Amino acid sequence: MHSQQKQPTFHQIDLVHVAGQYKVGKLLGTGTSGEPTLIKFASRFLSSLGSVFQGKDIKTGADVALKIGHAGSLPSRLSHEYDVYTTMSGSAGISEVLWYSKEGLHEVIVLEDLGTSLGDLVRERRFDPRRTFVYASQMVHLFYQ
Amino acid sequence: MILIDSPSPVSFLIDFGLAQQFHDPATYIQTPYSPHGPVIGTLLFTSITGQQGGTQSCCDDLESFAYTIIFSACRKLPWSSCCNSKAVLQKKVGTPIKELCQGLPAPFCDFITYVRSLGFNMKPDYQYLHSILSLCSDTEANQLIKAPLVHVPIVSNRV
Repeated sequence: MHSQQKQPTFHQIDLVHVAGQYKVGKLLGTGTSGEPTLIKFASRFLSSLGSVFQGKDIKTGADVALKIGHAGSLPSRLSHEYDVYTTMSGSAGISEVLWYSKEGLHEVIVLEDLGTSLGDLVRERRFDPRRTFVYASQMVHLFYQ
Repeated sequence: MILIDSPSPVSFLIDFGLAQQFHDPATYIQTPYSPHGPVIGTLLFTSITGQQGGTQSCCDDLESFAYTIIFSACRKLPWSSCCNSKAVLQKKVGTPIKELCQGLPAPFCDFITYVRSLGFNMKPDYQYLHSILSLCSDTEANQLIKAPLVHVPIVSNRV
């Protein structure tokens, strides 16, 4: 029988604070669309791609987003993602990385909180075709800027 | 991400975990195309080529972006309820573009047709795509593509 090593998932994150400054809050996203029938296909990416948590900067009170992955593989997806953010830093539509490091068994990118996720906005019915296309045309503008 | 509640909504690009170097920054030599790679990305939004295992490029990103637009506007994709990878791919390939764009402005059909026609190493015309989306955002509600009024015959699988 083929045995699969059980990968730790986002449910098992045991971090409470990161860098003594960022408090880890609730899970925001796991890198899937949230479609129940498709989550199982994406689940093998969870541990390497990281999960996103809400957080708070306890020094300034500012809301932040924490992307947390497992600091096992080298070079990891998260350190690669940090490199991409750094390369594109200062461009329009690219969020600033507030902090990045390995914290125990985990690897963490701290970003500014950009509000409600696209998936939640869709679920909350905040979009209609016209609004969607207003935002979509903004995004394509960012692609070629 | 979109700061939807700010006075003028602002879009941000995030989540670069799967971003890859497409060409060498010094020599500009492109990453070679391979038709048999691992399938990466969220199945619902992965391009047809990507789901078939082909190396993905910015052209595949644009196809995924098109599916994200449809999902945002319609809250589902024709393959949302498919329960496995093969069924998702079959539905992605088999759904006519006009059916895919149901409820959306007609010019969006051109967006899908264009991004699906792009080859692995072709440079997309972003300004053309921007002009299509601007046209779509100006389209009145009564000009959206409606569900076709066709009689669908009941087909029995019994022999």
